Amino acid sequence: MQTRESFAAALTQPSTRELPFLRPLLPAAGCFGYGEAYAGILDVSLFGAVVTRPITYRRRMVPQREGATVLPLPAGCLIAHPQTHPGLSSVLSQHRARWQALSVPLICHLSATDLEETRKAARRLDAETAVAALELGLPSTHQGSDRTRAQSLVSAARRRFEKPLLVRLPLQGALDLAPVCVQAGADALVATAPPQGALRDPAYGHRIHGDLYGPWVKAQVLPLVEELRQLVPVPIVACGGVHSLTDVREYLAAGAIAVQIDSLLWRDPATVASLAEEINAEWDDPAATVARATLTRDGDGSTVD
Amino acid sequence: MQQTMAFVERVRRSGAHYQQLSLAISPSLKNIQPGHSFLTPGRNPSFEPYLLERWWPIHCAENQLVVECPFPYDSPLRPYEPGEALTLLGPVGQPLPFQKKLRHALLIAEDCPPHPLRLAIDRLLARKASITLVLLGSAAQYDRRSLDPRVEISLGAPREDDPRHWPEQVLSVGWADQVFITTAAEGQRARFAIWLRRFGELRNGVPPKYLWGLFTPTWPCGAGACGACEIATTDGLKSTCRQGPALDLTRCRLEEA
Repeated sequence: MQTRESFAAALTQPSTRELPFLRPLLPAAGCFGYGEAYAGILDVSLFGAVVTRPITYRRRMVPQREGATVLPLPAGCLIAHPQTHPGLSSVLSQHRARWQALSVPLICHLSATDLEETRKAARRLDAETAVAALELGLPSTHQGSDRTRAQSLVSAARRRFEKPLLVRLPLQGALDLAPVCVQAGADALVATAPPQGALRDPAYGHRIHGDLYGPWVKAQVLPLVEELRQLVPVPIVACGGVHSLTDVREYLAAGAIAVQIDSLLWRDPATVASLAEEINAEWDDPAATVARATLTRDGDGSTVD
Repeated sequence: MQQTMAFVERVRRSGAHYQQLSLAISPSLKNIQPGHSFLTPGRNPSFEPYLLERWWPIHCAENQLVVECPFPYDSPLRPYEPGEALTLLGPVGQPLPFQKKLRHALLIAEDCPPHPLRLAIDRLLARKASITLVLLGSAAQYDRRSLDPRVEISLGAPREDDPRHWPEQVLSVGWADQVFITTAAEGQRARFAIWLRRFGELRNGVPPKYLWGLFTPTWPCGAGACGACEIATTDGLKSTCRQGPALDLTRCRLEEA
């Protein structure tokens, strides 16, 4: 049987670009700040890595009078972000020292906005010693995504980023985009970004488009993880709607190599901690079912005994 | 910020719309200051409602916190009962930045209960500061019987040319060393933009660190993790949950955040 250490090197395709990875849970991009948000509540060593908030190369201050909108949903919420970002330089100067001191690898989530910015940001992040890997977030709209554009963006990042490259797929169009992204050089895929939806804002009456969060997201992502596992030869990191240990186990059983936690972090960080402790204990126990089931898969999808 | 357990010790009705909860809190929650708040999943450990409730302490003593939360008239949720255990996430936010030599404070609540200002009243009275509390719009319906009698309360007297008018407005603005405003969350930035302009007219310019807006949008996380409550300021983006709720209105980019 594979040892945990050998599995640990297989978050991405076995190659020179491997990401040491000792725990199956990660915070999802946009749910854990830049790694500092839950200091004092959550120990980052519970996670396999820290994933930052989405970062853009340039500072963005989109004129928007009311900022983000947060609307409640039955057992969930919709968040419409105003797309304001401090920009890569500001984030690096503010957080670089903290990132260097992290006890787990840091995965920088880069919003793939346009080609030139993606190239520049990837080159800059490649030179950052604190950054272990890049998670490229493909543009996500309620209409799905463009294959040609996705391929260009992933290629642009790949050419300038030597370290492991993960690509976060939008839920709508993920199966279309996955082979394209792998062909363009993705070492692993994250399935998926939060689904997009729209609600009428009760305060103003107009329709708001945004990201949807809640336990029910898992029902949409879980079958997708299984399909992606069959479709592409790279590891899949599952993301969406995890709110219990059962959710984590189901994702791992569906073939995910790791699982990202999203809005549960906001709602109940203590539950995330206990969930991580339990799954880590199972992970560390070679006799445990989850660990055994997962450890028998290699990074390239082949089975080892 | 921490995540701790709290126990409901006592429940009282407060006016027609609120219930006041006395909570036994963890000794680790020391030094709760005006401006701090708490987030809680509330009565229901399941995920409905999903967004956390925000509670503002209105009194606080050693290991005890008093909060006011809406009485659930029109909701399937039942009122709180003594003995219930709750999870609290907090304290969220930064203390209100009172001047060291604050003598006269002007507190304004517009179209919302003055909960975010209640603990400030306690603390400022203890510092022997004089307080004027202005209740505008629906804030005037707040049950004022639980407020300290030393607080001077003014109710809004809207005029055609000034819907935010209150009696002796010029006097109370002129005397105030600092002003803290809380408003309804809807349209909050636009409201603060109006307040900034109004104080500029009343005082012939607003000095820095004088006029503070308490930004209280919905906070999904309370930790600065989600970015849903950020506001652009001249010092960059600020999370209102982590670096607020009070932000100097002269430094906020209210029109083009």
